[in-house]
Parts: sequence; structure tokens; C-alpha cells
Amino acid sequence: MKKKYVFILSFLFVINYTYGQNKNISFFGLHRTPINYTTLRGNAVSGDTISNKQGTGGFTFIDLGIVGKPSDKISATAIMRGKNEFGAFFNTGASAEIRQITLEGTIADKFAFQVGDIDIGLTPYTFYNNDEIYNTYEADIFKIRRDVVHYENFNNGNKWRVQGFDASTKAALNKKILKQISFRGFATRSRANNQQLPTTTLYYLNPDRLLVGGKLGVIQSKYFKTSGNLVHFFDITGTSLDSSYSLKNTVLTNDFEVMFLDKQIKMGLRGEAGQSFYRYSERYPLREVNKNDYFYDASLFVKNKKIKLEVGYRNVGPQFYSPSAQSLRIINEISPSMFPTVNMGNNARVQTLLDRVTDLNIYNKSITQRLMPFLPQYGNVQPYGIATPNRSGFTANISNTQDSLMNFEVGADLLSEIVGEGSFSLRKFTSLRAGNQLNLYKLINTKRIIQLRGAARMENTTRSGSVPVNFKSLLVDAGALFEIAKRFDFSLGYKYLNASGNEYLAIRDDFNDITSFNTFEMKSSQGWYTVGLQYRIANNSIVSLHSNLLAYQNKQDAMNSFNINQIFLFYSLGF
Amino acid sequence: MNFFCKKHRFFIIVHFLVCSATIEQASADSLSISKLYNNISFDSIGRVKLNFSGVARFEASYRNMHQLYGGMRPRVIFVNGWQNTPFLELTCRGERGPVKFDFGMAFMHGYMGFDQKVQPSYGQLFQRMGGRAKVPTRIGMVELTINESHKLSSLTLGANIQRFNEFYRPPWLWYRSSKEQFSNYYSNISAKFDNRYIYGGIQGLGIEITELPKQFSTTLLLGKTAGSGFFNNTIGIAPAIVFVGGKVSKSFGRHNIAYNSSNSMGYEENFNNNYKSASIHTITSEFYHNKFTFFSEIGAGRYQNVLVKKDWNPAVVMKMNFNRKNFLKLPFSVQYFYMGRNLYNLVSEVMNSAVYDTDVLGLQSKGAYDITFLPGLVTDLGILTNNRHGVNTDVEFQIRRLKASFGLGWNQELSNEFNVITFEHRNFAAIRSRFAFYVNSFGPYNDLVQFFMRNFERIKIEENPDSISYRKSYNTVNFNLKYKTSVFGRTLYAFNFINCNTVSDVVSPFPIFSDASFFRYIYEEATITYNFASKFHIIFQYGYEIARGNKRTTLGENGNPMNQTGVSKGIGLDYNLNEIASIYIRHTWFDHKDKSFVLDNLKGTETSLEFKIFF
Repeated sequence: MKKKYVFILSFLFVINYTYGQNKNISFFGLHRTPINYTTLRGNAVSGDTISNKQGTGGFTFIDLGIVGKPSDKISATAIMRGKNEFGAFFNTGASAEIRQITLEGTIADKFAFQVGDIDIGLTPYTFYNNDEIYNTYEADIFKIRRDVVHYENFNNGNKWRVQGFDASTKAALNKKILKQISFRGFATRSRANNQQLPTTTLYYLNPDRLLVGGKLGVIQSKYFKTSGNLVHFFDITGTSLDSSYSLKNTVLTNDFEVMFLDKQIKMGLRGEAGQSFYRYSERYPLREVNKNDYFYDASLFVKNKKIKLEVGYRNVGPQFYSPSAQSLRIINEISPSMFPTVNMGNNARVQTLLDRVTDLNIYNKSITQRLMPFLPQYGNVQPYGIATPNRSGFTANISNTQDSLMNFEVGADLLSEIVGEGSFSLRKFTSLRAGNQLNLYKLINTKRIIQLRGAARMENTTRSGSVPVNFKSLLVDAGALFEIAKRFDFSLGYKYLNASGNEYLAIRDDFNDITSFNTFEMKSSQGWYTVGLQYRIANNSIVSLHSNLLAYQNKQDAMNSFNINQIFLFYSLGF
Repeated sequence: MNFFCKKHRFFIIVHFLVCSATIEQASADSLSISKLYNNISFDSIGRVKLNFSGVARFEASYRNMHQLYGGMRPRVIFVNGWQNTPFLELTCRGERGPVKFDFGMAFMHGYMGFDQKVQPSYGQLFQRMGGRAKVPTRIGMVELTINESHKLSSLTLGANIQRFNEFYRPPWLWYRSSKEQFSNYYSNISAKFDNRYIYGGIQGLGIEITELPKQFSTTLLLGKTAGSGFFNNTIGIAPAIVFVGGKVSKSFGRHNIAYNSSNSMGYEENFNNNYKSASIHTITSEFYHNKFTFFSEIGAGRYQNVLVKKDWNPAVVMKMNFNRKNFLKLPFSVQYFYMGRNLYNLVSEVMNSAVYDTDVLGLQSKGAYDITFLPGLVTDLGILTNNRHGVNTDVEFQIRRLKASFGLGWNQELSNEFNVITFEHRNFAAIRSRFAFYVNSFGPYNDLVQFFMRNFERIKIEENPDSISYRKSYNTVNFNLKYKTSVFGRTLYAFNFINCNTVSDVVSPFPIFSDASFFRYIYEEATITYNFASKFHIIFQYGYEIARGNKRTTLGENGNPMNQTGVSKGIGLDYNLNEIASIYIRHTWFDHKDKSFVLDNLKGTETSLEFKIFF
């Protein structure tokens, strides 16, 4: 069964090899092979005869894209994947699938459209796939690892991969009154009902769930622009015969930017405000919940050619629900797929920095109606991104505006809860972050890349009163890259995360109501050291060898401390 | 690396055939499509010229029913239509010296979303993989095929033909513009059936040799066919060949005579001791005269399994097509057919209304999913079914821009085997067919049979089978009108189709529209299309259906027989973006009610959006 795909792909490659690109049909592709040899050591598995302690893993795949472009205005793309898991022989681990099919083009030179597997993003409060952790200034050697999981998980920037259509148009108007007006609309099926075809007798539980929305934008002039955004996430009751629940979640927002000054120094005000309308009902037992809440976010910015300063205030209501902006990229409640248990199989191993950068199986592709559980050590101040509900306070950020010798960012969030969770007292959140990238090669005027990176983020959560909270975390990044020969790089990377204190983690039901709290106490640190060599074959092709050590120290229970050693070999060829 | 040097020519052919052969899932729906697309020709690179063609099609529809019907969901979203409708099809053709080859593949995309709890995130399937190579040899032109479509003869290898409504768009429609579609339908007076159905898909190997000496040609087919799914796991033959067919043909100028053979064999899926076979052998002849053409197919076929070993039964089909040079000065045709009861060939044009295909326990094969058995089928004009003999006539005429065809058919069972009549719902059939997929006992009374874009219903005659002395007699009338005119300088087409069927226990050349008939059926379908702007068509459709039984059939809750009325009203908009891409929108209001069977009551709407691009 599997062998056939090898033949198919091999034949297609014959065609590709022989004929390459063509003016109307073209091919592109990506061949990747990440392989790792990993060992688990330390107290957590000392004397453990049950848990896995070492293993070799990886896979190789070829994504072959075919682009049919019958005219300049329309194209169809299909990406086929042939994949083979390592450790499987005689094709037992081979699989083939269609990774993406997309049609795109323009209609009457006015409407742009995409149909099929598409990536959609709007604003941070409406449709936004938040980064899994602060990683802007992490070392390049980590970015290579992160890029693998992002590609596999369809994390294209901060967009969500969805299936449906997206169309947009814009029109230039009278320049004195309105410079431009634009419209965008999309409709996707987030989930099909769980119908098993063909059938006539099955009763269904899950109805079809759609996600539709759009944006109406107006540019009045360079001094003022605004847009209205809509995202509607809903079940179509009746598409399952026995729908046990029904969701309707609408988010309606308006974002704007007003420029007061537009000369060498630019100054203005930008922001977004809106409301969510949440209705969720269940049949067994019969219950319906309606929650409406609002948010607003405004910031004053000043910038010139080199630097940008932004200071703002935001208030996101405790019952503001925007699933397409609040769903998490990582599923936090599951164990890593590599070494999932420790201590004779009695304890689940915690997710570490290494797992969250490299483990494909903990990544999430779906937009969920319920606020997903999170791990506070990886982000407690705004775990659901800017749209995290129940937050208000000031934010500030300074950064450079263009690539230069030194790129940097310094930011702070001083937030607090709007209503108490499990207590009348409110949590206070402080988050400080700073990052820097020093392009030394520009300083010493050499063509060989020499780059240093460093970043730190400190979070502090406190609550006074009868149920106090005091939780701190520190995330540090450091890295260096030296091009020791042409296209041949030596890289160093370091990540450190220290977390300590206590928290109460909310447990939510399907209505997003908090039903109870889990007491969370942590005193741990982890450091991830990596060193590697990489050869850049071409702009989109690389071969790389990394050595990794992750030391996880549980300071409350030394028996749960462990070390992970990993040799990682990576080959990626784009064509 | 020159893959196409003489040394490697054989390797290339074998290679792509092996590639193709390894795909186990072939779809008959898309098999012949590649023949119909135009190609984009590319520059010759090296010494090989490749042509790519294909089609991408997205269709989403939403049906909203006002009440529950037959246990189905009241609201449904379909993306890309039926289960096997491809989203993207690609065909590549190449030529190297005397060798011509092509291969194709199709992919589906269900838009299931990424919810991990319900569906695999993006588990689309290769739906089709096939190919062919044409090699000139000393003895003739040899064409090797894998997983491609073939036609032997009507009784041996083809497919059931069916008429489609111009309003509802089958997935494989190859017209690149609505103008072309409606113009084509208007131009051909008798173009009622879809050409796709003249072919039968073969999942396996085909060898066809033409241009043999003395005007001979031959075809050999090995594999599985779309309709041979019930013949599985042939033991002792590797690989599992469940279909062997072939043809030897001799031409005499324009005239032709051929021997055709079709043999399906295998074991019932779950019972390896249940061997089955169905065979049919025929002689076809084609004779061309300046005033008429004559086609005939004469042969014999049989079916057997471990429980029954049925005898060889004869099959005769003869048809005369007269052109305008005859005494009537009108083109007309006459067809006579005689189909023995034991003719059982699911891969031919003969529909099965007589052989109850069973497993070793005597139960219907595949249970609720066996849609191959339609007892007492009411056939459309020209459609063949077993255990029948009959005559079909059809006459065509034109009065200025009005084109018309009138058909009259009669046929009768050879023996009364089942006290059941199966008839087809033509009104909003495409919508009905998606109420449930490929099942034989759907609906509130479990009497609906769900086909691809078709919907049948069974009605039972409540009489003791042992005391029956009659043989059911079937009458059909088709009346088709097509009119073309110009309104405000733009083309307007009006089409009207009327179909009447009756089933009774007496022989009559004409339908009997009275309670003397077990069953009466009338269908009226009107379609108007207007090209109101250069790239736009608006389409209106109206369908009306009446189906009635008499007191000798099963009575409903109120003590009366079947008394159904169905209405459908549709509006559509076609926008041909350019010569290769179009958008089609359809909206239908439908209503169906049986005054006697109170649960057979449905009402709703369906809206669909289709976007299609040809390469």
C-alpha cells in the first residue's frame, strides 16, 4: 500500500528533474530530514526500569508543490507530501498525503480571492495566532528548531491555517474626502460534523462549526485610517441530528490610527476597541449562557527614522471571548511525546523549553471555543496574548525602527485583573522584557556574519489577601553566530527559565466558567545549552548538526530533576 | 540523464504503469474526464514534449430542511459535493518519438477543519491515478492502460446512462462556459444523456491493439471495474483479478462486427467459500446506410453463486436510426430489446432489476449498501434492464427555432419475479441523492435507494406472489422541447422536458393513466436561461412531479395508496470570469408531500456555490 506513493513521488520527480520549471506549470518543494539521538538522565529516571531513557527519532519528507497557472490572474497549488518515519523499514512507516490545495487569483482585476487551505489573520483581538513564548531575540540555532515545528504546524507568522475562502477588494476614492476603502470577507469550516458516511442511522453529536468574518477598512488620508472587524464563530445546529451543544461567538471591533504629526518625527494615536458576544448552550442538562464583554486598547506613539516609543493603556473585560485570538499554539496539558513519563512511569514528565520548541505533537492547529489551560512558567501575565481577558493596565515599548548595527526592544506591561478570580483581591502583573541583536559584522566591516543575541523577560504576579499569589519567572536567551567560513556557521545558544512561587490555575468548563482552581506551586529552573555547526547550501537549504543539553532542576522535589542530551542532525533542501 | 532514449523507453512505460497500478482506489467518476479537456501546450524541452491539463473545482452547498426527514439531519453543509468529488485533477501527456503516454491523478479536499476531536486535519486522498501509453509496433498500434476507462459494448462494458437536469451541475461538466453548455444542449436534439457514462472504469490493466492487418482490432482488460466491487478476493489468482473482458473486432469499411466478452468472478467479501461469477458474451454489428444505421448486439449471459447456478439467457438489442431521408422526412429511431432474466452485469448499461444477489446466507449482498438491485425498475426510454423485452421509438423534429423530440417506450417482464416496482424521482434528484449516500433503505419508510445524483423509490404490490398470473408491463413517454430566441439582443433558451411512466398488469402501447395501473408517474421540468450580460447567465428552473399508486399497492396510514406531489423552484447565476474560470450559484426551494404516507413529507432549500477553473 505504501510503496505506491514512493513510486508516485519518484515518477513526479522524474518529471520535475527533467522538465523543471515551466511558464504555466511549475514545481517547487521542500525536502527535510530532522534526526535526533536523545538520552534522558538524572534523578527522575535513576533506577527506572520502565520509562524510556534514550531513543532515536526523526523523519524525512518531501513536499512537492505543483502550481498550475493558466493565466496571470488565477493559479492552483497542490502540495503533496511523502513522509517516512525513521526506524520503519520496507515502507511500514511511509505515508502520503495532500498537505495543501489552494486556488487563488483575481476576478475582474478587482477582487482577490483564495480558496482551499489558506492562512488568515486580522487584528490581535479578533484573529491572531499568538507566539508560544517571547522569542524575538532567541539564538538562531533555536530558530532552526522552531521553524521545523512551525512549518509542520502551519504557523505562518501570526495567522491561523484554515480551510475555506477569503476574498478582498479595494477601491480608490476621491482623495480629498476618502483616499481608499477596502473590504475583505472570509468563511471557513473550522470543524465538520462527526458524521460517518455513508450512513442513515447514526446520531451525531458535533455540528458543523464555521468561522466567518471580514474587515471593512477606510483610509481617509495619511492622517487617519480606521477599519471595522468582524469574526463570527458558530455552530450550525441541525447539522448534527442530536447536537448536544451550540456555540455562537461574535467579536466586533474597530481599530484606528490617527497621526498628529507626520514629519521627521511622527506622532499619533492608535488603538482598537470592541465587544464580544458569547452564547453557548448545552442540551444535557439544558443550560444556556450568554456573556458579553468589551475591550479597549489605545496607545500613543512617537517615532523617527531610528527609534519608536509607544505607551498605551488597555482594558480587556473578564468575559471577552475571542477564540480565534485566544486559542493557544501549544496544548499545555499533555506530556511530551519524547520520554513522556519518569519515576518508573508514575509521573508524567513536564514540558520543558526543549519540548516546546521541538515536539510536533504538543502543537495545536484548531481554534477552540474554551480558554485552553496554560502553564504559568511560560507566560502568566498574558497567556492568551494581548487579548487575554481580565486584564487592564499600562504598556510601554521602545524599539528601533530599522535594521541597524544593533536592534533592540525594551518593553513593560503593568497590568492587573479587573475582577478577582477566586478571591476579592486582584492579581497584579508585571512583565519586563528586553532584547538585543548586535550585528558585529557591520561594526568591523566584514562580509562574514558575526552576530550576538540576548534577551530577558521577567514576570511577576502577586495577589494579597486571604488567598495570596506570588509567582515569578525569568526567561533568558543568549546566542551567537559566527560565519567561520563562507556559508559555514558556528552557533551557540542558551535558554534559561527560572520559575518559583505559587499560583491558582483556573479550571474552566465548556461555558468558560471557572469551576475550581488547581493549586500550583513551583520552584524550578531549566537551562538549555546548545552548540552547532551549519552549512547554508543555498538561501533555503541548510545542513546542520547540533549538540543540546537541557538541565531541568526541580527544587521542590529533586527526584523529578532530569537532564536531556540530544544530538540533532538536520537537512533541509528547498527547491 | 535521458530517460527517453531508446534503451529506456520500455522502462518508462513500465515505470508509469507500475506507478499507476499501485493505486488501489480508482474513481469511475473522473476516469474519462481528461479526454475532454483542452490542453495547454508547453514548449518542448529536450526531446520530450509534455502537455498538462486539469481542473480545479470548489463547491460548497448548504441545505436547510424545515423538518426531520428519514432520520437525517435537517441542516447540512457539503464541501466538494459527494464523497468522491475531486477538488483538483491533473493530467499530463507526453510524447517521445512514436511513444505517447499520459497519466493523471485527482485529489479530494473535504474542508473538515483542524479539530482534533472529530476529523483528521488534512487527510485528503489520492482519488485517482491512471495512465496510458501508446506504442506503434509492427503488428499494430498497441495501447497499454492502467486504471483508465474503456468501452466494449453496451451489454459487456459500459455504464448505466442517465439524463441530467441542466440546472444542477454534475461535478465533471467539461463546458468552460455556460454559453457553451446551453448551446450544446440546444444544438443536439436528443442530447439527453451524459457522455461520461459511455465508459466503464477499469482498475487494472488494459491492452488494446488497433490497426491490425485486415482491419482487425482487439482489446483485453484485466482488473476490477467500478461496479465489480462485490466480487472480491479471488482466491488462487494473483493479483486479485475480478474482471476479465475483451473484444475482437473486424471492420468492413465503415461497417463493423465484433465479439465481446465480460466476465466478473470472485468471492463474497466475508465468505470466502461463496464463489460468484457473472459472464456475458455478445456479437455486435454496425451497419451504415445512407438512409439509416443499424446496430445490434446479440449474445448470452448468466450469473451463479454457491446457492444458485442460473442458466445462460439470451440478450438481443437491435436499433435502427433513420435520418431525414426516410419516408417521414424526420429523423427517428426504433429499438427492440430482449434481456434474459439471468443477465447480470453490473459494469454494463444493463441495470439489474431481476437478480437478487445474495451471500451464502441468502441475504442481500452488502446489506443496506447494496444499491445494484432495483426490482421491477421503471426504465427511461432506451435504458436496458434484465428480465425484460420491449420496444422504444423516438422521433425528432424542428419548427424554426423550436426543436422537439418525442419518445414512446413499452416493455414487459419476462416473468414476474418480485412484487415490487422501483421508480426514479426526477424532481430535484441531485438534492435528494445527497440525503444519504449509496444506501438502499433510506427514508421514513426505508424504501428509498440513494445513487450518485439519483434517487429511487420502491413501491410494493400487496398481492400473493403465488397467485399472480400477470407480468408487469411498463410504458414510458418522453417529450422534450428546446427553444432559442433573442431578448434585448441577448440569447434566451427555454427547455421543457416531460416524462410519464405507468406500470400495469395489462399490455398497452400507451401509458394508462388510471387506477388500473399499479403506478403512474408524471414529471414536468422547465428551464429558462438568459445571457443577460456578456459573462452572466441567469437560470430559472421549475420541476413538478406526481407519483401515484393504486389500491393494489401498499396503503398509507390513511388507507390510501401512494399519492405524492413534488415541486422544485430554482434560480441560478453563472458568471464566466474568463475562458477558463467560472462561478456558479444555485438556489432551490423544494417541497415534496405524500398525502397517504404522512411521514413522507419534506420541504427545504439548498444553496450552492461552485467555482471551477480549467487548466
